[in-house]
Amino acid sequence: MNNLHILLGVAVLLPLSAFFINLFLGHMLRRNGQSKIAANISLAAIAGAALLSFVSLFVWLTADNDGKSNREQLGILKSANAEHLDHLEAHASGGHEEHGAHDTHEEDGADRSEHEDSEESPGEHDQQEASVTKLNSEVFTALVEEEHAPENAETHSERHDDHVHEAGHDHAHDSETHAAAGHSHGPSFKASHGEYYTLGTFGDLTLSIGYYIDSLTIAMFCMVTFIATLIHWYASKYMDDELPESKRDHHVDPEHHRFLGNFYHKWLTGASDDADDDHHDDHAHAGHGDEDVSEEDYQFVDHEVIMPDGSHCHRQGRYPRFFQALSLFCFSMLGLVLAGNIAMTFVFWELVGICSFFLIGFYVERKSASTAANKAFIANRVGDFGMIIGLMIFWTGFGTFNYDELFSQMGEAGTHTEVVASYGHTHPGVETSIPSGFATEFYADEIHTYAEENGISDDEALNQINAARAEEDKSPLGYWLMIVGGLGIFCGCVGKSAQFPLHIWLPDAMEGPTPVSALVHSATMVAAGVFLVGRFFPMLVPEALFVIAIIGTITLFIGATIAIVATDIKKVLAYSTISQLGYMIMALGVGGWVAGLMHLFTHAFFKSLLFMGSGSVIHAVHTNEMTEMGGLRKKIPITAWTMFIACLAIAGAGIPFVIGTSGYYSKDAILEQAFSWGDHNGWAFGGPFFWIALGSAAITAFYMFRMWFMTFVGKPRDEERFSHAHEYPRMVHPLLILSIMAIGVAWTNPLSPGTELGYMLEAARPEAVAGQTLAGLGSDIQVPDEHLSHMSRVKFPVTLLATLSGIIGIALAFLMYATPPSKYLKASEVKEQFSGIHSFLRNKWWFDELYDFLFVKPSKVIGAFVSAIDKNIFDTILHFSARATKRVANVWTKVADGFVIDGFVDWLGRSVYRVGTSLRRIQTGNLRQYVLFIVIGAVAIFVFVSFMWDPAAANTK
Amino acid sequence: MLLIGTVSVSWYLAVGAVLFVLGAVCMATKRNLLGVLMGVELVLNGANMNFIAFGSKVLRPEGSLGLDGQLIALFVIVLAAAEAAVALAIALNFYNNHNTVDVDRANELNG
Repeated sequence: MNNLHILLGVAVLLPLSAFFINLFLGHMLRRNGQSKIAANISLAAIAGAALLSFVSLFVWLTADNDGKSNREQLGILKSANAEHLDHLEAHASGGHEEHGAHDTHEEDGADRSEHEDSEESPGEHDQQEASVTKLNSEVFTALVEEEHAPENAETHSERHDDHVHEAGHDHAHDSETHAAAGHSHGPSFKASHGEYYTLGTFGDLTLSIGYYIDSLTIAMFCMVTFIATLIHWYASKYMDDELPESKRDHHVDPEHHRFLGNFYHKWLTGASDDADDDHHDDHAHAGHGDEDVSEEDYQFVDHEVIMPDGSHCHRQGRYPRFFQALSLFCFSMLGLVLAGNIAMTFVFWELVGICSFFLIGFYVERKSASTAANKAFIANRVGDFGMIIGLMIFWTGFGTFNYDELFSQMGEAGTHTEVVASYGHTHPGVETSIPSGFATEFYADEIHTYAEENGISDDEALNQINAARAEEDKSPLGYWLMIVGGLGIFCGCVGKSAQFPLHIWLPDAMEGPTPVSALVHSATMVAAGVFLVGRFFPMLVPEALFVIAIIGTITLFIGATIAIVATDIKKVLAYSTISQLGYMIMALGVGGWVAGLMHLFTHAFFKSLLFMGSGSVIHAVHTNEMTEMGGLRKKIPITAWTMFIACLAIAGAGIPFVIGTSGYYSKDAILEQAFSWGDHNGWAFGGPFFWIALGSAAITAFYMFRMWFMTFVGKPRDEERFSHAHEYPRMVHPLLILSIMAIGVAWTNPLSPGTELGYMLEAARPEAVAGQTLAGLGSDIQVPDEHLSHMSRVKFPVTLLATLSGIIGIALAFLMYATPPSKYLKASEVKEQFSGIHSFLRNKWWFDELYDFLFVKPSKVIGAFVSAIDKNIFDTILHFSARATKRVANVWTKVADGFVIDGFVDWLGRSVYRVGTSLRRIQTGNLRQYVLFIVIGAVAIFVFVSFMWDPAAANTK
Repeated sequence: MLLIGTVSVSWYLAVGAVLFVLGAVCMATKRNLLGVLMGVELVLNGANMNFIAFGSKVLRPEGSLGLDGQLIALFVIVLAAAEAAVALAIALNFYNNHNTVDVDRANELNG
């Protein structure tokens, strides 16, 4: 474990070095014409990072953990989990018989709500639980609590005596690990954490550059660097346009960028109207004698930007700049994953955000791109504001940013309901009681009174008062602050991971080049929010998780519905990304830690595949609109079939209970956990999560295959575009590699059980909030243990339902888009039938308009109002005072300057002149007269000395 | 009394003063440039007399070498020689240009 931080640290720094090389030398590299040195530098750096990541994966697997290697321990973990699952199943079948069918769940929910009202304090929980658990779900609650039996033995052992005894063998098996790390089943995997560099120490508070490495970190490193490498490879071809030769498409957008347009027009193109003749332009330009212009050999013609005179925008190609930003992005993302404390995470979080800004706004001359970049940046700032609040709360309450310290403090506090983190007083470095000098100065009377009453000295009285105050201040950070802090951190994730209500930026971010969409806006950056929720999971209390689940559910539904009607191929994928991120967030919110993060990984693979495929399509037909595509699978077969695989993966296709694509495993895990949540909390209350997720799974399958059919099947809708379509080898190789990953990334490794993705993540799973009662809001909702979701009574129906929903979605898409129109279902007729809903979805639920109405318009109104105040009131005052000042100044010029100062200076000059003129007469030029003067002078000195000189004064030494 | 009295330092000072005054008067009254130069010599030597007088054995402390006055006098003599050379050169040039050595004619630099 010891070398991991060095390996991964170097992996983080490699892309940074590529960034600096491209930053400082990119200008020179561009001079070499067509060279792709910039791309190769970045590619080499990220490939090196990928290599180091995989090396560290193997280092981690072979590292010693409690006498065995981590690889063996993973196998043990897997078998322990299987054993535990059997144990659960045995109990479930027992409990089943005792307590009746599931159908009574809804009544459970009703019963619970009654109990909610009667509940007064957490102290009453036990009795209340006892009464609730008489009903069906008793057995699960009991099981969950039993897992925590070692900790809670005193309170619960009597009540669940029988269970504990039955489970005796199980606990004997892993009681040590319980004590060691608190992991429920099987061996424990400790995270390695430490510091690279301490930035500063303030009392007990330390800020440092640290690392926190567990299997999640390493898996993230491998995933990010792997996909990033492929995307660099892909982009080195895709971004060819930014080299001198350029494609010409003719989107006309004449009215914007007037200033920049004029600028380019005058200075770069030499005011020539002839946009086709670049060389002519250059010469005209050089003729102007502008020193920059003669270097202007490599031009990119942006045909989406039209100058006021109707020509296209000419500018330098930005090939090195693109890779520079991409490298910086990779650095930031890897740093974010490696970060050992939440402050460092925040810094990298912002770096990732700014890289996203650079890359979305890469075509800065296009108004749509620059506004999209601003939109993304602003939406992220809104989220980050919440994140800063969360940071402040945790910093204040726990006195540390370090993950390991936060988690261990949380672990020591025991269950979430007993969290007592105090303000200030746990870390002596912060003085929060009144300094005694202050107190004696300002509260002398009170202290004296107190001292007299108690018959003690003033100093003792002050000490006692301070102690009492400290005790008072030691009020718990409070459960509410924990909720607010957790939600604050989640706010950042909402912004970064494009969750409702800040999801609006992600579709617009598609203005960036497609490799950016593939890497930044589907696979990695937007996954950072999910990653942070996963990383910060131990600090999130159940209420926060509940809100997270709700947000995730709303997001996944909104994203899925809008994706149905989008016709821009990248927009479909963008909304699909939003929807899938919603799945992950929802999964984490309902307690499915492994499920959510596993979906993060599988989604990264198939979504980057889809985006790169769409980039290949766009490159082939030069349009984003699917309404102008069709039948392309004959022209670009590799793209078509790899995207088909990705569509299957995102739809979660698989043979139930046997094998499936990667999405089959992760999405089913999410649905199972949602089902499990509903199962525990009553379907009336917990059902929506599962049913919405399930319905959206069908929608997912529908819109993905709608996209695939519209693009690749049927008759070409635009013959000219169709006939020119072709694909480039350098762009499809990554697709092939990724399609393998999209199928098999979640598969079991038969050679070494436990080393598959799921158990890699399981090894990093934090002590979950499983089995915790949702306290604080006075409710009785539980976040179920994730292991419960693997029970057959959950797994069986959910898998079938999920498969069924996927099939329905695909079938519907097939009927509407792949069969000859008019045969079964005509898309246009369906559209007319539901025209209201269609336009509602088409306009993205009117979110942009809503925000425009809620925030932008009011801002403008207020702005206009303030501007009017400014103009009418402040400007009047200013003008008045300016005029007054001018008048006063005029008077003063005459009086002070003209009369006093000028007069004095003139007088001085005149006097000097007069003195000089009069003295001039003495200089006669007569030598003997001068001698006479000398003699007279000498005599005068003699006389002066003789009569005035005081010898006594001369002798005073 | 003059012939038999001890010659004290003040006698020398008196001679120096007389020389100085004679020199000064000579400088002020002579119109001939060479005469003025001679007056300068007199003034310098009057000053020399003073130096030598103050370098007298009577005035100096016991045990000191006490050649300061004499040395300065020598310096003054050397300086006077140099000054005479420069002044004579000026006089010659003045004569070449104006055909006279009357200093009253040399008043072209008046103010």
